[in-house]
Amino acid sequence: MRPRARRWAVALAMGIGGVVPTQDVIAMGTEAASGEQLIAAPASPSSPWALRVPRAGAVVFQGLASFDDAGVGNHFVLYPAPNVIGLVAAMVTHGALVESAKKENRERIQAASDAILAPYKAVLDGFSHEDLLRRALRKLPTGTIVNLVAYDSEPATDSVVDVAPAFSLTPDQRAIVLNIAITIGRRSVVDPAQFRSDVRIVSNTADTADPKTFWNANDGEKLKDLSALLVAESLEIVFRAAAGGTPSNLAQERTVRFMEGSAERIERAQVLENKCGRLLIRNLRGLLMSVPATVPSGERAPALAECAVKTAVTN
Amino acid sequence: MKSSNLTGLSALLLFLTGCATTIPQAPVAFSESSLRAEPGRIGVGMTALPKIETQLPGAFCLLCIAAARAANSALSSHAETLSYENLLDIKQDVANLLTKKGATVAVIGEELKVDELPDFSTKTPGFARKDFSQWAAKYKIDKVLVIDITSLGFVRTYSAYFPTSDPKSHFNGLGYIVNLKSNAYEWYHPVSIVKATDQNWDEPPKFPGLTNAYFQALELGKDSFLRPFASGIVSPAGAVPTDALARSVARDSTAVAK
Repeated sequence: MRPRARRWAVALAMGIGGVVPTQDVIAMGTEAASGEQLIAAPASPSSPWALRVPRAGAVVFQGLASFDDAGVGNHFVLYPAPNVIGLVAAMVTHGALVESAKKENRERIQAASDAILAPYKAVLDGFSHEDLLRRALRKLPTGTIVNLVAYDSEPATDSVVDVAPAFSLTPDQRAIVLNIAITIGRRSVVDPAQFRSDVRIVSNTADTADPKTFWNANDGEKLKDLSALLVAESLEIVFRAAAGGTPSNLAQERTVRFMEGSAERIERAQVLENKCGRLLIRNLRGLLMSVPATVPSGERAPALAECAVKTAVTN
Repeated sequence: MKSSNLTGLSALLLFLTGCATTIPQAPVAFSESSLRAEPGRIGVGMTALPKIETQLPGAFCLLCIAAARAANSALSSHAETLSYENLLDIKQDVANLLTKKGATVAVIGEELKVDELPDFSTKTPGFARKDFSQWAAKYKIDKVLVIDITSLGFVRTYSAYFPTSDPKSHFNGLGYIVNLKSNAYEWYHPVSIVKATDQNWDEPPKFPGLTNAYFQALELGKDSFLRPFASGIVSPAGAVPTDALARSVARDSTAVAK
């Protein structure tokens, strides 16, 4: 991240009150290790900023798909080759057919995964980005001054945050995964001092045997509330990352296990933080991920009240 | 139909029928009762680990193979840089789990060379193809548990010149216990893991998505060998809570594998 952008992002991070970067996170930064001062100056906690509503109106939800079985097999093909032109034509046709079959195969897998959303259609159809972001802002620390602005309107503040969230429901319908791109910039969308980060948040697993009733109750309040909580958590993570610089290479890459709904997931990553029943990790692509930490049987899961940072607990 | 055609067809059928008489070995579930029935000493060992490489099945013709290799050269080069991590620890982890069940276990340090054993006289399902009896004296054991990881790395299927799938990581292997008195299988457990990337795979030179998939397959493959011993009698496809497995092999409490 450019120094100018970082100074500015730090000021923004300080501006959301309770989301001041912790010493732990700063100490893990490579630049912190080299002795660079990351937090240039304390900023006013009342610095206002704007969260811009994405252009698309409806919140994006899909079923979480696995492409482990994707592919169309390895069939043996004999090309008819009456001459060179015929051979080339046969090969081109074969290539086009294979590509088409692969695309159809992936689309079929995704469509099958999306089918689990059918019981929630009424709730999701009425869940707008504006509603999502309003709820998310209410979950940020108190004292945060944020203006929610429409995509095509001019923010009154100099600091603007753009988000592109996309949610997935796990196959067992007991957890939600948020993939979100967050850009912190100034009012001008062409400002080169933008800080951009992609984040994935995996919610804790809902303690329910009947997810349809659970999520749809009270006009989908729990589904909407959890979605907003995931967005709020992602904003908090990105502001801290922006303030702390690039997280370090000091943490060794490890194979991390966590629950995604009732299924165990494995990710090769650096573990940046482990607290309040959540792991903050950076995967091999550099994606920041907040995932549930496995609590060994017989141990008590930490209560929300014990944690300074809210966690994505649904139950 | 002419008689010469009938003769040819009969010969072909006889040939094909002859090929089909080799019955594949079906999985044999591990049973704790086998430990109690014949308590003896169990040797646990592994064969040599395979090279981590990229396989391109389906590219049959010579030109297809050349084209497929050229198209995947960056991935092949990257595969060679990946590590086995703690894959060799499986035999010690299995030994620990068997010891917890009351078995007397000896970990065999050297690589097991199954191919060098003589063939067993009987080709019946339920019995090993190789004659393992000489290992009783060599390692002073009554049974041997072999972990044979046969292929590891990436796989991308082809149809002639064209890929029919994105590259995926894969882990294939076989675990089995042979009673050295009878040469019978007391556990036979094929393992086949395939993991795709969650997003785009084509990210040279480090291929982070596929590298992640590789370590996923590695971890799931290791679990597949350990799971049957983690909680009593479990079929090859049986599910065991992962935290129980993690505790059994003494992973740390944050579920972060070593």
